[in-house]
Amino acid sequence: MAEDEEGLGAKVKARMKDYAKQKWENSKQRASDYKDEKIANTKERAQNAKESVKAVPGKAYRATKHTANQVYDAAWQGTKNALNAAPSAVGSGIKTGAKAMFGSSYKIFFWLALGWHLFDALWMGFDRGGAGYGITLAIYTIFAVWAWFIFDHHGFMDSLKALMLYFFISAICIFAPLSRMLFPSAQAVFLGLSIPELLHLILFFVPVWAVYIGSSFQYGGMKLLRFIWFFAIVGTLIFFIFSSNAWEDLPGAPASKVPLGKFTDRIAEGLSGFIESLRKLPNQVVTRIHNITIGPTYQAEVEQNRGKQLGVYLESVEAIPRTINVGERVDLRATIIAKSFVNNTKVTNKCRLTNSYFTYPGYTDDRFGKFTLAKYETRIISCFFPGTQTEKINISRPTSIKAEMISTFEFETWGYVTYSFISRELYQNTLSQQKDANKEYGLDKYPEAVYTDGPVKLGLIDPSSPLQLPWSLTDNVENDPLLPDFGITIRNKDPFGRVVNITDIQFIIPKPLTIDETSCLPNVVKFNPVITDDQENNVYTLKDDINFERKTDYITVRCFMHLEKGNEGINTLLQDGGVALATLAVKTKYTYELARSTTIKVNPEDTR
Amino acid sequence: MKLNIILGLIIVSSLLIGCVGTDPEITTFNPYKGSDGITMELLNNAPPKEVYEQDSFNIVVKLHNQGAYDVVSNPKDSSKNEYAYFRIIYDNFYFEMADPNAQAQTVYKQELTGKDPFDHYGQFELQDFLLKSKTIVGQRESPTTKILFNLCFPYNTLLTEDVCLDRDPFGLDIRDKPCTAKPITLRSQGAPIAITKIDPRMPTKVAVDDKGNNITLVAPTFAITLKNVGGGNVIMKLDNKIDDQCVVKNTDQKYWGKIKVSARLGNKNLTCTPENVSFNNREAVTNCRLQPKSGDVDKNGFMPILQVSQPDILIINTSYVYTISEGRDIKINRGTTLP
Repeated sequence: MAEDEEGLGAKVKARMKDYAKQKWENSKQRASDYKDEKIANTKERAQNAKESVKAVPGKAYRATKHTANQVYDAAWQGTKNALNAAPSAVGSGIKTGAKAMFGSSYKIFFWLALGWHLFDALWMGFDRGGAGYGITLAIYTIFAVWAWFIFDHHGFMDSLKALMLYFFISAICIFAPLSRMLFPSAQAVFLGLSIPELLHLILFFVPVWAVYIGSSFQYGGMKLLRFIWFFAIVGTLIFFIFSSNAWEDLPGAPASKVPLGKFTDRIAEGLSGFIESLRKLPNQVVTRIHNITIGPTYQAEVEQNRGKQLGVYLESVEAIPRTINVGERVDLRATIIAKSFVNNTKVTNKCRLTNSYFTYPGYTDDRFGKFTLAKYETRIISCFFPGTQTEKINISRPTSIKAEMISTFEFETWGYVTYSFISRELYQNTLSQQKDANKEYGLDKYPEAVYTDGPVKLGLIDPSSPLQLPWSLTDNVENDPLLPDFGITIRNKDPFGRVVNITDIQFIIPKPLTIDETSCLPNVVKFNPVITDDQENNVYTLKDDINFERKTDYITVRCFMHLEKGNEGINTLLQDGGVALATLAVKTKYTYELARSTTIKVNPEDTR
Repeated sequence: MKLNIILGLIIVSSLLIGCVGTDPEITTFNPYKGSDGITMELLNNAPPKEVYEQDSFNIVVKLHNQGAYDVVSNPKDSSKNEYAYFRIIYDNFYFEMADPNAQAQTVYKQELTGKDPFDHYGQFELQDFLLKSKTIVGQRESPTTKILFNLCFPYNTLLTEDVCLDRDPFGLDIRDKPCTAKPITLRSQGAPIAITKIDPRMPTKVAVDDKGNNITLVAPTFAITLKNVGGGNVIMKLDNKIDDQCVVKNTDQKYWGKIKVSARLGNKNLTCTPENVSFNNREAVTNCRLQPKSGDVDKNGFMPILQVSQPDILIINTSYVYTISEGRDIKINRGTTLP
């Protein structure tokens, strides 16, 4: 029995083994057949694709030609029709356009809002002081109310929320420009613009109400806005880049090449200045922290001049020709403009070729090397690099190198700050009657500090602890009266220039005010004034010992003030009326070096 | 017949019209109105808004007494030595007097009579000052600077008002009475300090006179509210020191913002507490009552009153020194311009 079972089991095993083997063989065969079929299909498809690709250019060409013919025919027919229909089309086009632009209350509101924004930006300069604030407040309040009437709302709560939104939008329009006051205007960070100036630019390009309205109505809203923004941005960029005589045709310059070259130079210059500002930033932050422990940095507003701002400008630097071979002469020309109310400007010019590896000086002849510019004068200056200089350039491939024009000149920048003084008794009496002394006596609450434009900025007010006026004085105390301190900060303004040295600083202090020389806190300046006395002012002049180190980028001098003869001086200052005005002035005279560059392409050999 | 009737009517009408007539309305001018004392007004373009450097220009000021008080001097009475003082204050850095001999801060004094029934306008005077702008120092192109103007003058507020001495202030007596004591609201009295409210209080008591009869006594008290309506500052007036008081440094701080009030009820003097009143938020209040032990007033300030309420006249007088200030901006342009 057991043997039978064993034999049966073996038979079953064997049969199962054969079955499995047969199955495996079948599967293998099927897989192989499938694989061959697939490969064959793929090859066929690839072949077909190849054939198709080869046929595409021909098809495309035929299709394009056909399409072009159709377009041409249509265009010609269209042009003929248009020419025939033009007169009436223009008329109806204007009508349609006008209707499209002004045909609804949304659109009228849109254009008014945009128009007012442009007026606010270009005419008023986003002024939010005095009358400017009142006008702006009124206009934007009207906009908010007008929007509430124009736009649809459903229900009381929706209507209320909408009204709050419109007033919020108006509040942004009114108060956003005040953000410019949060940042100092002394530091240029991009394309010669400071942060307040950049904010001004951003505000100009964002007409908040026009954006909101334009996004709220369907017909042409967004397309219209895109067009306006594109046009405004491009137009403004073109204006900024080419605003300074960029299109003037210099003698001998190939006119067709001038615009593009100037465009790239300007961009390169702007980027270079921006990178330079970024590079200096960490050091300036450290320096600023360091200087805060010694004394404040002072600020002031620059006076806006009629026409060109005061200063010396180096513009339109151009190389002729712009591409040379090694060993060829190249000339460099520029326009120098000087504007000054006090003195003629003595200028010394030079030029150089420079890149990372070399610097070669250029040559000027007597007419352009040293001369004096009148109080307002424009002159073209020239410098050249002879072949004997350019042949020293050792390059193996075409290279762009910088050609730099450098002008050194003497200039004066003046700063003015006006303080008001009042008798303490008069001041306290006014306050005790709940009156504002500034309004009562017509006095400014904060001193007005102004400096005249030029390559250097002067600051005269400490923004971190602004002085409030009028400054009250009394002789009913034993000690000498306490007076506000007086300080100045001298700072380089032009990122492409530097102060070589400061030759003279003068403080002009009206009597009976004086400076306590022993109290002065210099940054890097020793205070050894030579005091001269005119009839109305005490004049302190610093000569020598003025060190303007490049790494600090600015210097600060601060001194305490006193009154001559102590308490008696109060009566001299205030006299019988109990109120006095006093303007303090500062003159800084310095030597400044200004550099402007352009690029020249130098080829290693005659590749023409 | 009809014609006769018509003619008769015409004649009668003419007689009637001729006899009746109309009296012209008689109006009297009241100078004790308005909140101005002496005002200063700068004429148009004097000073101008813009001048050139080294340019002389005029400042013309009109001083006008628009109130009811005469600011004049009496040569026979040294206590009446009063003027209005006008000052110009400017920045020496930009301006100087065209006359080199003039003082740096010009003071001008003027007497001015106020309004009265014969002069409804009040006296005014024009005064001309000549200033000169200096050469602009340095590189500044067109600085803007201020010129300040200050006016200081002594003045007086006088009020005469009918009041009622009410022996029945609570209305317990149902009989009609000639008058009732009630608060009086006023506006102005032709001066920069106005009396705006008089609030009477009439405490009463009954006493027995020498003959054994009951008499009613009343102690009239008036709470007087004053208000500074002229827009300027007030200083207590000290006799014989007006010249000094318009010089800031010579006025003690304790006199700033205060005035002295005096009052009379008929021919009886009132004592005001406080006598030297301080202004707080442009208002001041003082209580005035009968002076004790004067005439028929007893030691507690009560006086006898008739059997019925009786009207009387309250006279309030206050003297002070008043100052007003103003400022103007002037832009100075360079003589030569550059493009």
